[in-house]
Amino acid sequence: MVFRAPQNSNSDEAVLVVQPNRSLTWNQSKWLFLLLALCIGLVGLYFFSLGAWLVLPFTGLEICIIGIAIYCHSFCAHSQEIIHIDDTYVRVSDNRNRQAVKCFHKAWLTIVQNHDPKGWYPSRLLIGSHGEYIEVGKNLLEDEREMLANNLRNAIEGF
Amino acid sequence: MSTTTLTHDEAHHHEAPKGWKRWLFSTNHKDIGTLYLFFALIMLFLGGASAMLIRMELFQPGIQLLDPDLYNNLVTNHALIMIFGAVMPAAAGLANWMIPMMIGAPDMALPRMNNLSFWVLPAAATMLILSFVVPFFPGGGTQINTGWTIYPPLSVQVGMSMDFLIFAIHLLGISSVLASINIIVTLLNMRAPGMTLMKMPMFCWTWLVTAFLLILVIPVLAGGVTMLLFDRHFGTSFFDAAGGGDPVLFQHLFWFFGHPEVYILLLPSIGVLSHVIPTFARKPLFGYKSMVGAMLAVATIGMVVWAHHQYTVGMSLGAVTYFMIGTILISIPVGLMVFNFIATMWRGAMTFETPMLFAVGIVLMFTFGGLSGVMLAVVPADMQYHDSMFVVAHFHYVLMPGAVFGLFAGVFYWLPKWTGHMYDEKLGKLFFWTNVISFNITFFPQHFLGLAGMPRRIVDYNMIFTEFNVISSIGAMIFGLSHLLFLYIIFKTIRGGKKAEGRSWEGAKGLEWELDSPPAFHTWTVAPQIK
Repeated sequence: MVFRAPQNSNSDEAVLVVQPNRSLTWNQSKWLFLLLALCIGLVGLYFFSLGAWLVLPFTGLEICIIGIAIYCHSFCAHSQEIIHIDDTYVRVSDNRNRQAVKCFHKAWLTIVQNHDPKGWYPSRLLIGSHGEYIEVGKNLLEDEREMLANNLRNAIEGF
Repeated sequence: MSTTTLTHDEAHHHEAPKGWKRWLFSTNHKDIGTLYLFFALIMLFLGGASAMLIRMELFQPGIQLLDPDLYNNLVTNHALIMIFGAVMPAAAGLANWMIPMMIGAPDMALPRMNNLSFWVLPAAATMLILSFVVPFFPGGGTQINTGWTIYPPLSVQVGMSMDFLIFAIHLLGISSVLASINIIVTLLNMRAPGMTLMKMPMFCWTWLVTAFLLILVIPVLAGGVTMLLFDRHFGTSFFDAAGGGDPVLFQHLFWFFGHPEVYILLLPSIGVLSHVIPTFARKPLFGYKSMVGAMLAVATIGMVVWAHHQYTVGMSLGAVTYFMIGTILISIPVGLMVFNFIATMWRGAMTFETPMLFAVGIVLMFTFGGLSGVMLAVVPADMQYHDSMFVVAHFHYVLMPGAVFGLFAGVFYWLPKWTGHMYDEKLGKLFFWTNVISFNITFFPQHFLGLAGMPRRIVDYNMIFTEFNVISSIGAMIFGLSHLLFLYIIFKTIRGGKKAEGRSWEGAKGLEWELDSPPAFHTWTVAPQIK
């Protein structure tokens, strides 16, 4: 998902917010995991109480796999990159590490999109200058990454 | 500022990979869906062949083709292959193909795990087939003569083929759990913007509930068969009364999985009907919210009534009464679903293409199977019917129309979407009528056989049961062979035919019909907005 944040007509700054599509918030993901873990745990404990204690390792393992699956997917789905473009600089930050803002001079900025020759892996969209590049939109889909690359070019050329 | 795009091929990522690696390493939901469906088709024919052998043996009283142990081994393998090898993978195939397209997602949430959950299946199938084959080799031990329920103490005494079966069950369980987790995460986290849960297509709802059921019950089965393995090889006595264990505990473990498994098989087909009937009745589904509620009620009650399969083992009166009332209660939400389907058809502008014929057939025959289910739920009656051919007739009336015919309806309904070609409607209808008539010839007489006292899982029978068994066996041969026509229709449609439009059926609604037929290798790479 790529979109340009609403622009203030007086502002001299464009902002691109980059995030994948998602339908659950972090909290909802946590509740989903807790609900599943609770139900599976109760089933395991019930059979443990009947003497079938060997059910417990399987329920435990399943809860772990569910936790990892929900965490991994939610982690990617909630990644967010914010790209600020003003008339001199392009600044890139992400929602997980707001302190680490990468700043590039717009005049020297290069946008590089690398495609895997075999088409097995997603393309990588890199922006940077003077040999220092960072990847943006790595959690997007291929078409969305193309859109982001186009939006970035348009936004940069627009200033 | 300068921009550089290093691209090898502008449209590279939209093309399907070529060769065997496409299938082995695929993370594409459509390819994996196709793999599931073909796997299920192969297993359907394997399971069907074993069923035809069983019916050939029962054509006449006496022992003709199979010795008693081999007969029971076939009964065991027929059930396991059909349930774990044919119906569940077929439903998973439909889910893989349709869920992302229906919710506007580009793929499943965890595509690599999706690949793994499919490729575990052939390994499991190999183990399952080995469990049947191993006793034929020197030192291979005895046949698995337990039936699919693998009750101890008999299953503790069976030869090494039981170990193959236990590992096959583990692998099948791993595959199901991984697929279920994937489906839950996909449905809950990858819906298109604006698609709330109550706007989600009914097929997705049914799969969401099915996936929840699977992840709740599979660990119990895994624990149960592991305990069986320990009893067989590591000197434990979980199910050995002489060592302080209890064989009935295994029955509880098995049926805690086994009964919800029935709904796991049924619900995806109910989901298919919820799309087929509105399409060919040209009306929206009657009572969407009540369908969702009924499905949740079926799943919830279905989880806590497992011991109605064990009335005869000597449970307390209170326990049997509870399980009887609970089981009868399930007929209320199931009845509501059937009512909604009939109400959707009511005064609709109906046409009867093959998927709709199957849908109408399901409503009639599944209801019939449900009614004999209510008979079996009543304890005093079940004491008489238990382990008779009546039970065989009942569960085939539930599972064939309820699960398999639903999958056939789904295949015919979505085949134009998958292949880009319309199937041959005349052949489709011929298949439906041959299939449904021969199904009834096969299984209807088994009600009378059971009521007259013919036990199931026994290779021989009393002469007085001959006539109905002859009729049933003739029906079974026609029924089994009719599936060759299904196979022919599938391959004919894949190879060519009238070009299918994006919206292949006039009354079809939903995001999947907004895509081309066949859809591109990658679809919904930009999520659609749902209003």
